[in-house]
Amino acid sequence: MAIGTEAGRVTRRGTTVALWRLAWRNLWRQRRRTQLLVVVVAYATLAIIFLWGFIDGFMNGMLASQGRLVAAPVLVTTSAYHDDPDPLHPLPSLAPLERAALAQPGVRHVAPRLEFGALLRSPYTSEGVMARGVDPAREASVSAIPAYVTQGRMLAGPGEIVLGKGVADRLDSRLGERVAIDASAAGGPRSLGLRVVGIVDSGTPVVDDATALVDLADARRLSGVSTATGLALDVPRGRESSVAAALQSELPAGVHAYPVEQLIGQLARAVGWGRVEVTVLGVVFSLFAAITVTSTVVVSVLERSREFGVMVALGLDQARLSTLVTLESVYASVLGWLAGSIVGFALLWLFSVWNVFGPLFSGLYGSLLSGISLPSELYTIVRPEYLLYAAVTIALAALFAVLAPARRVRRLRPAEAMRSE
Amino acid sequence: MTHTRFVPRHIARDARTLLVALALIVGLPTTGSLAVRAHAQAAPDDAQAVLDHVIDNLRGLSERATLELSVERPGRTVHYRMDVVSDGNERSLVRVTEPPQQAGEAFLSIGNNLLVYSPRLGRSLRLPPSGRSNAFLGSDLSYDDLAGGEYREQYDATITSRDADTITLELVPKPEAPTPYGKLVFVVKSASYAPVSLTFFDQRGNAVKRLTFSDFQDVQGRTIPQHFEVVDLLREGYRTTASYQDAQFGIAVPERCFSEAALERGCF
Amino acid sequence: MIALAWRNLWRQPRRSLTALGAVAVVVAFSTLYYGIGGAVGNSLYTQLTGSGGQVQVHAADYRNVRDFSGTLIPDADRVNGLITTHAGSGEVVGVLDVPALLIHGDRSRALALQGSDWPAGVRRAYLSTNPLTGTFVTPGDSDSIVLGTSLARALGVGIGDRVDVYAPGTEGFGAASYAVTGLVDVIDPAAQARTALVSLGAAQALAAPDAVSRFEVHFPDVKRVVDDGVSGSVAAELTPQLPKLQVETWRQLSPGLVKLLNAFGPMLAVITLIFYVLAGLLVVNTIYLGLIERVREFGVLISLGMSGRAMMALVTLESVLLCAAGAAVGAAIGTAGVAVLGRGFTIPGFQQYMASFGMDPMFYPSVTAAQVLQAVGFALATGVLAALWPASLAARLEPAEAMRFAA
Repeated sequence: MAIGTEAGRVTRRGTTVALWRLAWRNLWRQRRRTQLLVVVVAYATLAIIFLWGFIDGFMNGMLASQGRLVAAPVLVTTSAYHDDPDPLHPLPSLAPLERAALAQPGVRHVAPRLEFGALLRSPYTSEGVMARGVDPAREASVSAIPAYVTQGRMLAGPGEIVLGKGVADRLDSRLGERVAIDASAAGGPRSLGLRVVGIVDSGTPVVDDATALVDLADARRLSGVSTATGLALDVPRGRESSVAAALQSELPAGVHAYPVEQLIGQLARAVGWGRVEVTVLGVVFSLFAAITVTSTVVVSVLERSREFGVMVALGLDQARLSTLVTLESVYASVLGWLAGSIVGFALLWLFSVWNVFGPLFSGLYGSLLSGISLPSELYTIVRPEYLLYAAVTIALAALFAVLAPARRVRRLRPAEAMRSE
Repeated sequence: MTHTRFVPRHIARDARTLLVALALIVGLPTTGSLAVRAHAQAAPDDAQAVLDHVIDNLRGLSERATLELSVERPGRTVHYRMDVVSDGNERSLVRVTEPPQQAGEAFLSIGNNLLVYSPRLGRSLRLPPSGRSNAFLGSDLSYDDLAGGEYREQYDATITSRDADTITLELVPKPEAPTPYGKLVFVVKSASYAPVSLTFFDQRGNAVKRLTFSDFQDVQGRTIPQHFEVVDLLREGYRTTASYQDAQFGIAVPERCFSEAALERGCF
Repeated sequence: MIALAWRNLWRQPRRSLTALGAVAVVVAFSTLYYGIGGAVGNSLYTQLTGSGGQVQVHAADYRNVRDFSGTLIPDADRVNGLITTHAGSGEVVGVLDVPALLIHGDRSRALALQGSDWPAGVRRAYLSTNPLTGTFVTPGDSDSIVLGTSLARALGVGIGDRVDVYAPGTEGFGAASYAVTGLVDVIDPAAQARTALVSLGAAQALAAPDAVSRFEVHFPDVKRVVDDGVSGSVAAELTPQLPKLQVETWRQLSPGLVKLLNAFGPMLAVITLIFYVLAGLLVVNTIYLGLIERVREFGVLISLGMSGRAMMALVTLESVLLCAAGAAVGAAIGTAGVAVLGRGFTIPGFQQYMASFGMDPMFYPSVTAAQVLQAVGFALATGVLAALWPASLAARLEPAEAMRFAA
């Protein structure tokens, strides 16, 4: 009889390979039941993977946006400036810092910045702004703002200014018109007339309502600072912290490299909290899936009591038998995990190139949080470690199997078992 | 209570310095082109020369006067009275006598430096350059509107018309001039080069502000207006008027007038 | 048939309990989750109203007026009295913002000096998230000033030093000198560099006697959005009393927050929906396993005349009852949890984190009846949907084969 042969095969050689094959075959004797199991585990896996990809994508998008629209991926300033952003605390020198930064692996470009308070005057009114002096040739490598100049063009040199749409509207200044800019330098007030060559419309209030870009040479004339207030570094997303930390040792005392995480302030922690939430959800999902697997295996064991009783009577090690049962649990979970991972990663990949969530979220949050830009483009992230997070299901299923059906099997008494229904 | 979004983001910024109204008269910092006075005899057809005449007509004379300043806004008007002393060059002392709230406040301007005396504090403060463009006693002029010497470098002047008594100049800012205006139309008396009116236009051809001069006095061969009015052409009811009373020109002004002590006690 | 379905469920108590437990967990979780979402919304609400009050009164068209005097509410004492009589239990606070220059030696900063007499509750809330060194301003004190720590550093002053304040273009003395009595570590670094606080009287003497920039009406005991009915009613009562002024509620002052709060519902629903599907799958599994075990029995029933429809109904009923029972238990646990926690709780360890985000470390969860009903509704829908497939299997059973079915 088939069972006898199977059991005989197992007892004769005692090879685990035979055990594994047996477990596999047992699963597929109950095709539908196994399929259902696989669906459950696959779904849980899919949900876990997708939620992780989403939350990481959100965080990533936020940091990228903050880095490229508001601050910089890495910003080198004096620590005094970090506490009190005023041109009174400029960088001591520029060229040596630029050299040190460019020599650092991970830094692709550098761009100096001079930020200073100024008064913009139109014939109708005046507005205080925080103007930013930039090097037009290099700024695009560290900032996305030049890409958002929707009217006109980015700066090309001195004598020009680029305004955020909100600023231009408040001043009632149009493309091609001239505005006067007043600033105070240590030696006295300075004024210039600048032509509006471009208007920025990024859809992000914190950018559109505050941007005033001028040429670095003009900024130096207006503020009296000969170097710059900060050096922005173009660093690939994800490496800002490590590059900043590595660069720090090359910087003179009083000068610090700040990665975007330190420039974004509290918001990073808020999203970090989102990570905690996804972890908790992930564990609960894994739990549910594992329970489903376990309950199915328990039923299967109950149904095969007679069969098991026979096998034990024939000499099959009860420990082996319980291992068999555990293996069945593990197989079912692994299958589901594989299926779920494939679909999960496929979805993640889809949303990593298709910007669906961006407009949704920036519409919701954008107007509420000032000083923080939210990405209008939000993509999910694909990371191999999500496989591990989802594999918690497998671990739990194995654990529960050991605790329940396998235990039941271990305590099986052959005579009774063979008599059961 | 804290800086929440409830607080209006802009602080009142278009209140301009009181001193501004004085700049035209007392010759606050120019970029030092007063030497042009030598061209007093240049041919009047030359617009630039006309402009030079006008500005020189107003500068270089020491002066002591009482200034009455009225700042009109819809629903309320504020009157100030001040004692003014100037060396006609780069130094001036202004002491407020009315209204009682501000009485005793004094301003000493020497070149780019501005010292402010507050009787309440009992001492003077040096105002940083940023202080000059922020909220001060309200008036409708800005410092830069009237820093006359800069007109010469920042504008190209042409004569657009003449009639029996007046010459009309059109001043168009040079591309990099630190002024937001599109053009200025300056009407002056042809005989005396006294200013009659100065109209400020935006860059779209609309007039936004007008400064008119009246109550002319003959002083040592010059014709000097004693009454000024600035009208905001875009906002109903916004007007500033300034009137000089009991003006004495060309007097000897003691050095002690431009000292910190003079802020508190005056010098005459 | 309901009785039959119910009995069937309990023939396998452990399995049924597990599935019931799963549904209960999901419903309880959803309720708590909505509650936490409500707590976050409430936290944003308390942060906003804690710093600005539930209702504010400004000069007409204050957002567009540019000069200082145009933004003022004159005759402040009288207006204060008027507002107080109509504000019910609310605390009325006058605030005067003065555009000023702070000077110490050769260092200076231009900012908006804030004069106000902080009520105890509001001050406590502010200082719990923004630590103070030294002493705070007290009403009537005309000599003290409290600065943001980085502002004090920029000016080169510490506690005990004096700063001069110059506020020209205003209507009071226009200048004053104060002693620095306290330094505040304002959470937001940008705000910290601009924070300068004096008493209301001091600000008025400096810039605008008997005038304020705004009045705020605070209801410090209202900590949840659901409990806030006063904003609307007080604003409605005040508006006709103050024809020349602008009365606004926190919703009108912060439409962005309102939008966010409205969005919470859908966002939470999406997450819980994902969860429900999982629970649903677990229920499907339970029902299916139960079906497998009773195949022979069902075969007998069919051969005895039970119709396919009735089979489906039986299976579906079992599923729905299971879920209903789970939902009932879950809803009870969930609402009880929210009620208990609703009086305010903090998560140890998270307090620091919340404070650093500028949020009130106390959570006040709240959940609406509609949300609980939604959770229960989801559970019932899950019960129906989960039964679809097993029920259709049951309906198609061939009696003869079924009766011979061996596991």
